[in-house]
Amino acid sequence: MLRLYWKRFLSNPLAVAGALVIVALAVSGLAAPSLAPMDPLAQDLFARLKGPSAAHWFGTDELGRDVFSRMIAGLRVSLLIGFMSAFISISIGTVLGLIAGYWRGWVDAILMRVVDIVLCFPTLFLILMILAVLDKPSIYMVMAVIGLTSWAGLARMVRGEVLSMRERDFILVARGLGLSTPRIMLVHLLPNVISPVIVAATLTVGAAILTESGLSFLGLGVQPPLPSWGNILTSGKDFIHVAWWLSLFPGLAILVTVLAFNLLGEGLRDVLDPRL
Amino acid sequence: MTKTDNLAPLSVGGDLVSVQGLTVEYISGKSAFAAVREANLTIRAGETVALVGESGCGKTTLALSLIGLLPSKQSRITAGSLSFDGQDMRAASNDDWRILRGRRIAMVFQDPFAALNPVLTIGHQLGETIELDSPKDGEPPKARAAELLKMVQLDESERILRSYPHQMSGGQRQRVMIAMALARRPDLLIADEPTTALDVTIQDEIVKLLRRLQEELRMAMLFVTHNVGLVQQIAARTAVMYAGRIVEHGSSASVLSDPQHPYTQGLLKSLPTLTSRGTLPILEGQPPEPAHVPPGCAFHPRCPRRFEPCDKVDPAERPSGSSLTRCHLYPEQ
Amino acid sequence: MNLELIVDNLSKTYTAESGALFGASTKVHALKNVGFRLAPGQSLGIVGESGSGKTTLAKVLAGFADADGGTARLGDHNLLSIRRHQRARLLQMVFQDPFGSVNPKLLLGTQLREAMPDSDNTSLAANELMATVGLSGDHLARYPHQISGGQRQRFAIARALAARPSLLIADEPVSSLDLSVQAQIINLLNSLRRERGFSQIVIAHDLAVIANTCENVIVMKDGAAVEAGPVSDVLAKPSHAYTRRLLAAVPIMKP
Repeated sequence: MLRLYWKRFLSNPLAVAGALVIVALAVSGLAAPSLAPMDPLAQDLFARLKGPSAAHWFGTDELGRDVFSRMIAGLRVSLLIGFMSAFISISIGTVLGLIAGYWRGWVDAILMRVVDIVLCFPTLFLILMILAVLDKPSIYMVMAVIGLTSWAGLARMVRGEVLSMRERDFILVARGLGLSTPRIMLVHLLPNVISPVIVAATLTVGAAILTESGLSFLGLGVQPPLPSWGNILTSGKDFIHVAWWLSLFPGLAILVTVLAFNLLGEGLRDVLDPRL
Repeated sequence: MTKTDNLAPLSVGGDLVSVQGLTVEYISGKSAFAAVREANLTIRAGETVALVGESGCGKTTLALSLIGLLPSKQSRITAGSLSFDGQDMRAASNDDWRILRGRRIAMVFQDPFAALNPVLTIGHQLGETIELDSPKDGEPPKARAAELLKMVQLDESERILRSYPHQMSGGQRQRVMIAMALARRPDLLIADEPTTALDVTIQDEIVKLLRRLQEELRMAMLFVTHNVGLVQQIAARTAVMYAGRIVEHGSSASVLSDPQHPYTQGLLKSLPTLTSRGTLPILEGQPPEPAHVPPGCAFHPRCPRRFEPCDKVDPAERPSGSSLTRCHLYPEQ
Repeated sequence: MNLELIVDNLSKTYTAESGALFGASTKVHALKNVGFRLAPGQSLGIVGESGSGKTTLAKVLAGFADADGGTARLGDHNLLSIRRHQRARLLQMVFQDPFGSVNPKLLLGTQLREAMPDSDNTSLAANELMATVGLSGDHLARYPHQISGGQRQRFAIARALAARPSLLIADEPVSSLDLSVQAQIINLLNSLRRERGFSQIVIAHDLAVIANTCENVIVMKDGAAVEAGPVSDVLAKPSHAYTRRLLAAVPIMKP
């Protein structure tokens, strides 16, 4: 079965490209400290706002810090926040979706009302509010807040899948065999509803990275001097006329990363759920 | 195209459909397999031929090739010839087929629910088919629609024309499908498992309806089914398919009472009937996947009478009894 | 084993919404006072067309739907109120569609083992069970899509029998199978019942299947049992008009 999926995946060049980019980024992120030519926090006030050169591949920022090194460090942060918040939101969403879809009745009704409420909230404002109140949040806080506010859509989707699966004969068989409800949900239902979750997971990571960049840009996410692509962009906007590199490189990096995740996600959808 | 544009009368008793040595392959990626292999089949004007076989035997593929509905990207005819009323259709384009479809060849499918548009009324859908023809002496389409519905024994035509597919029963939907197919009085009706999705009593009614219509309209019919029992009620001749090949072909009576091919023999013996009891004589194994057909005679792994040549050479068609069969047990001509 | 099934006055109604936006909903009597007895080791056929209630009857007995009235007892157990894991030891069901009744994402071995009672859950026992339905132990290491429809139905039967039920309900056990495979499954069901002695209910729309697997038959129409009796009697001398219609509709095989 896995071999079939692998073959299908390889026949989609865009998805493979996305996957390769992500792998490259992940490896760089893991090897970050050794890859960075300079200390991302080291200031060199004699080399402020210098353009890209042999010494500084992506130039320097307003405090003379090497932008390339800061971007590598920022990559680490972005990937960490991206994956962890996606993990949080997917875990919550999947569990709640499974419960709501399988149990139905009042449990389902209550959970879906909660989902409706969460979905109605303008998420960005909610996040901004929470982070503003927290005053200088750590990256773990940012991670948690993004994760805890983005599970609702996935919960609804999983619930939909479970609803369509639960009347299938093999689930009836499991019930008829007297298997316990947790076993039916985890061993029988979950593998059959996991495909759209995997696709959604990939897309969620991309979205989380984008959200984090936005928050950091606004000053509410990763706090300086810790670098994040978002907060490099913050300085970028102030010096856009004299230092285009401060805006271009982080912007491009965010674009490429999110695009890679989206391509991978779409590719996975075609692999796991092909509709020819 | 000229020959089929003018509705010239058919040569009496001539072959309406002539298929010789037809091979149809399905392509997936780099690999291809034959869904139909070297099929010979003729249908004369006004006659009904039944095409019988199990899943994966190629009967639907063969039926689709007779109306030009094979998926063009994934399939191709790699050998043999196919002609309709003397016109070679093997290399015909979609436009060539479109001229024939509806007017001279029509098809009825297994699942009428899937074939009818759920958001349009029956009247609308029936009307579309009728409007394709020039009106009969200025007869308004509504009257013609009612006439068609009456032909398939649906009486409350006003109500039905206003209804949507989901408001009707399976049997009614199938009758509507038949009405739509016959609206332009085709010369050939291809019915692909038209009764499989229906209840037994309705099945019986639809089969009787088709037979009556076929006689009245003097239409040829290809009746595709996996239900061997239906064959005698509806078709004068029967072709039995297995793994893409027509393994036996003759009059329905002789195929059922004196089957020549071991597959037909085994199949008929194994079918449960109202009078059979005890352990039924079975055919071992199961039909092969179309992509993994055994070499030589496709049936040889399951055949109780296989011998020397069976796993090496795919038998060609030869006469046996009053039928034609593809089996090494009988001498080639 | 050796439990008698007594069904008495079983009824079930449900409301069906009409197709239109503001249409009134109608009450459907899926089961109307259905009653019968099934002696231990015997096989009862339930024949009817769509809407006859035969599937609803199976679902109620198997615990997938609630009854609105009446009783159903298997030995001393009340089938309508029994707990799920208790019912599992008494009654198992084989479904029509071998594609849908086996979990596509789990190994066959996993699915068989979880059906087997804890007391006898060894790979030896699993292999033996597979052998009784004509499958090899190797199949346990495969996924459902790697075996054929007929083999999947055999597996479904093995799984149902793993729990050693007293009653097996087979809902259209052969109608989704290829013709050349149907006889194999019919023979299998018959021989397993002879060997193991369980009672059996076969639900089918095909009278020929019932004639070959059951001693007694109930004919259902619109939720009610319109005729009942030994198969040979009902086939030879049908008393109800609907039964006669069903018989007339059976395609004749030999010329």
